[in-house]
Amino acid sequence: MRSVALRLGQGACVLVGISMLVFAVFFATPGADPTARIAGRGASPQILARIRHDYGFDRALPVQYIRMMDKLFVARDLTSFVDHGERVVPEVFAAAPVTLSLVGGAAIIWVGLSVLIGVVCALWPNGIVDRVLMGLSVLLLSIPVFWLGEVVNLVTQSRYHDTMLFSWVPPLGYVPFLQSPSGWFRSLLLPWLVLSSSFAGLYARVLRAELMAASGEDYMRTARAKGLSPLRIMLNHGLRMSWLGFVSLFGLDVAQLIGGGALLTEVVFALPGVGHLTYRALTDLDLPLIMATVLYSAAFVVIANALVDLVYLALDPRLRTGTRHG
Amino acid sequence: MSVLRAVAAGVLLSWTAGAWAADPASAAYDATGETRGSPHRGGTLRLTADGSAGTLDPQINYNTQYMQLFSCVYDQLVTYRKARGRDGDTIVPDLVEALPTVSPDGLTWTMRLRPNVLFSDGRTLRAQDVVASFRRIFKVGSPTAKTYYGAIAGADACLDHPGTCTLPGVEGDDATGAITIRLSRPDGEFLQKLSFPHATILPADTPTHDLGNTPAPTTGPYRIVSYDPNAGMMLDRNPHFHVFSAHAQPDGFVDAIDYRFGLSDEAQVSAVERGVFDWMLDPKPADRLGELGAEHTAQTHIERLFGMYYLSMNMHEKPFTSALVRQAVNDAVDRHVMTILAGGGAIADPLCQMVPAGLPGSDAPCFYGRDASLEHPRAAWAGPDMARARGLIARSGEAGAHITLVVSNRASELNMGVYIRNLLQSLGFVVDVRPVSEALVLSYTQNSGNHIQISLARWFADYPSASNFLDDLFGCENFVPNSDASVNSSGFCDAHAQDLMTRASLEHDPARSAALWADANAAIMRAAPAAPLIQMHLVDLVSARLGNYFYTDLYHMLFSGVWVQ
Amino acid sequence: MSAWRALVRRLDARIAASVLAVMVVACLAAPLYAACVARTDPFMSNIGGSFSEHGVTRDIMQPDDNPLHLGLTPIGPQWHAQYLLGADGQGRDVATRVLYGGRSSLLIAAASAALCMLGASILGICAGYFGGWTDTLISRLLDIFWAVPVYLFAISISIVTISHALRIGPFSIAADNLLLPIGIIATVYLPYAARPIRARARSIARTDYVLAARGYGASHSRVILREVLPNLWDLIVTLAPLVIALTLLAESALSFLSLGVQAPAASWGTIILDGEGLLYRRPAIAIAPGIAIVTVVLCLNVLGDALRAVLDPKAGGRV
Repeated sequence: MRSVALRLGQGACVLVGISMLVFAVFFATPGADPTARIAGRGASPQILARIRHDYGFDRALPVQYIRMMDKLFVARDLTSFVDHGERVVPEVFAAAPVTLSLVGGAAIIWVGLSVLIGVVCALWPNGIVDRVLMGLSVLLLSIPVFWLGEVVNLVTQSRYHDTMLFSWVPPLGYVPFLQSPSGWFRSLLLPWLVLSSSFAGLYARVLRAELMAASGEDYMRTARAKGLSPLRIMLNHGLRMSWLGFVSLFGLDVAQLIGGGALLTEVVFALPGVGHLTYRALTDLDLPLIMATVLYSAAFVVIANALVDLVYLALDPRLRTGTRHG
Repeated sequence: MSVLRAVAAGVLLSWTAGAWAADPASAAYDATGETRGSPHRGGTLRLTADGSAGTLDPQINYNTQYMQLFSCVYDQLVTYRKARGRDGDTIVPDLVEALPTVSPDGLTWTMRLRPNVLFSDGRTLRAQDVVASFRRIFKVGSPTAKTYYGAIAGADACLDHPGTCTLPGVEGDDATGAITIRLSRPDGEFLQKLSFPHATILPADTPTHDLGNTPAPTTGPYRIVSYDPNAGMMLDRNPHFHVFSAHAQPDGFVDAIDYRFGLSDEAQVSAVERGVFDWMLDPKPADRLGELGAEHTAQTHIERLFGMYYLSMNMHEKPFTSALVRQAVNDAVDRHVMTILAGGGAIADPLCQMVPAGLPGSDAPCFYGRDASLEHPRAAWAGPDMARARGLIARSGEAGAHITLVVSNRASELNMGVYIRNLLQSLGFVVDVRPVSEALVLSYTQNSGNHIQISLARWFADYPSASNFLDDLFGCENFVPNSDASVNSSGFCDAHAQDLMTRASLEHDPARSAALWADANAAIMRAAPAAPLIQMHLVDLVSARLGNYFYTDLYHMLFSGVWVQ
Repeated sequence: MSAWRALVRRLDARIAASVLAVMVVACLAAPLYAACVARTDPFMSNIGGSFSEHGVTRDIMQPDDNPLHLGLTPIGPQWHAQYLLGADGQGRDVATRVLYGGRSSLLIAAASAALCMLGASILGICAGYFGGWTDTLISRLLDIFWAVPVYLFAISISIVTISHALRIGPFSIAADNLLLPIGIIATVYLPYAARPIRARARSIARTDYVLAARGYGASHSRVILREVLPNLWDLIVTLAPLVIALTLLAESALSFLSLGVQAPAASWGTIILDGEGLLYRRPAIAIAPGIAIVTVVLCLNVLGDALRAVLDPKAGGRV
């Protein structure tokens, strides 16, 4: 119990560190002073002085930092510097369902696909099917996601949109599920496939490796000796023994994606999710929104990291790593 | 995929370059301003844009995107006529019965409110709403509070102490509807400034802080029902609207306006082509222009803007402290190449002086390029003159200097920046291009503390006058050292040019005023604190179902003037 | 040496290494191609220019044929020495730019991977070998790098340097300096490489021979150099190609978000970004550098797998 509290405390320290880093970088940036941008083009010095005072930019930096954290976490009424009056906390939570839809669908696809590929490959290792599928996996792993998205858009939105094959593809953008379930599905199908492609390749390789390692273990040999079918053995024993590495990797990746790591996919497909919001906040240099989105995403990553560490502490002293992808 | 939004662009102005179909329905609309009974009345107009444009407060927002929308939502005392072509450049009474009467000394402006205008919440417009709205300009710290409304008596006190602002210069009588505005100094363009959206009239009890995402009651045909800066905005009819002036605020055809945000420019084009949306805001991507011209000819409209690209050269930073270097840049730049980078001759024209063609004062001669000189200018730019430019650089002794060119990181401007870098290199300089986030570039390049040498800038008029280009960009009072809000980024200040501009802005006779502006324009161009490059056109794309395309100089496509049924 | 022979015997490793070598040599030879074959300057805009083929002179920017005279398009692929893959929006030769872009991309990827592996080895060994508070501190520091979004990190640093060069002691780094993306990308993947190294170092630190060496009174530095590092070497060699593949992908993604290599320099990511504006008319501009990226990353991954299979047969295809 003590180690759990310790690990969570460390996670909280990491979050505080990140927020200070973001704040410091913003105010160290020349030209980032938001006063003139809040005031509007050509505002007079009096107006600038008023806005500087109203927003507290004339205070000491530590005071500004405390005030911003207070507004973000306690009062939860921190407002954007660009869209005056827009509260950033609800803004982030409004973008979350889009990202959840994207990541959830993609995760189902990549887990399904990778289990299929991994099991098939581990059943007939080093055969032609194994080689082809593993080659495909490493190819998927090697394609930059934004480029794949662009090419998919080129084919489905422009070149071949009017053919039978792709006429169902809606214009880029997001359709809420409640508005139209079929529209939601159609608007997300291609982004799902593009986002899941590299993960499917990675997970298939991980799973095959785990299953191969497990097949050498004694209980698997025993099961085989009992005359159980290879598929039954693989599903009953192999998958059960390989779940820990797979699940922890999955947890880290999904947490990172839900926190905004799917930025490139969201930008290329114009999906207004958390990643897109982060990107917009950064290009607009809108500090409150940057702070909110970065802490939101960091929270997921830190919590997932802590959970995985704790699970391992409980079950297995080995430590593993996740990977990050756009 | 630029997820960037126009930050502080002014109202774009333009005139309709092509002819429009004179059809009977639009004639009837122009006569009465009424759409009741029209077979085209009804339906929802669907608009799309990359992003939203900030606050809904009409007295604060300084963004083209919402100024266009607000033109059929809010009203001022006077306004530009909602008419196509040059008719749209004239000011007509809006919430007042007739244009203001001005005393001979130009200091006292009197007018009378229309008696029966209602806000969308059902209340009647009264003179005290006008008085409160002008005070509110100062209390909320409108960006133009000083530059546009600083001449009103008592404005200085309001700027210094907004909390206790009383603004004695604006008086109103609820009983008679009489409005009197007293100025502390004459202002030749005060009428234009009264028509500017920051002088919108709101109810007297509107909170004196930025409204943010909360809409204020409106006087126009539409009202804002909901607003989410990340998703969209819905407008429906103002239930209390009736046509009080066909010229100033005609009724709308559509029943509702649905404005959605978040699509990239490429996606917007596809969506409008397929009829998912009726109109898109953002500039059309270069690779789609050919497709629009060939396959959607009838849905594509090319309109001219009073807007331009120019190179701002900082007169306080080497090597641009030398007039010879600044003139050499003007001689060398190939404005024809700049039009290609902007999308071709149908979208941009070369510009050799600092006022876009079509505005009074734009007929200054061209001193630069082939076959032109300070002594023998040409009427129009004829091509670059690299040989003379190199000669000027040699005479200046600045060859080999290191130059950093600052551009916005939008794709089109980065492209222009790469070309200009090559140009300056071939003049013998060592050049870096520094792309800066679109959100920062304006304030960053204006601050003299950042020691910017040269930057690529674009500028649009707030209202159709040369003052918006010459006085704003080169007036002595608009250079504020070490401030992020110093519009005169060249740091130009010349007594002769300033005198011409002051006289031009006080001159009431249009012809003499235009001549003075042209003289000021020429005086500035001789010193060359900037290199004008191109004047832009606006390419509008609408859906196939959108009818009666209605474009005005000031407000662009008028959302109340088009129909979808 | 036997590992080396085993590697050379593998067909997949031979193919991947050859393709990789061809790509690297082609990119290194970019100036040669520009001067002798394409005869263009890939960094000089050529908008008003024209080129002639078989005695016919054509403008590089072709006006689109439509009633409104809207738009201009650069010439498409000529499948010919000049303008092999056509011109980009500035009228520059795309094929030459892809080769020059490869120089930046490969240089940044290799350099940032080297920097990353160096940093990761130092941090990973310290954390794993010493354990205790050193381990906690380094692990949480890596958590911070892991949790801050890559793009935030990159944007912040590139914005800080927009006006003033970043000064670290006597060194001054301008915004268009390649060290900037190299440093950013190396930092981003630091935790990725440091964690497995830490885990391995930790288990090595508990082996009998390390404990024995300590028991004989050997210093920490001696134990690390003589006992820990040699046993980590295969892990570092195995990780290297995978980290290069990751840094190459990261470089292209950052450049695509215009945060990496700055114009007028080019990398594969910036060329994809250039091509995005012309995607529907001239898809070759965006597709060519993408194919180059996929090819190199694929080769690196295959090579990495082969290395692992040779050096650590038990691990199989573990990632």
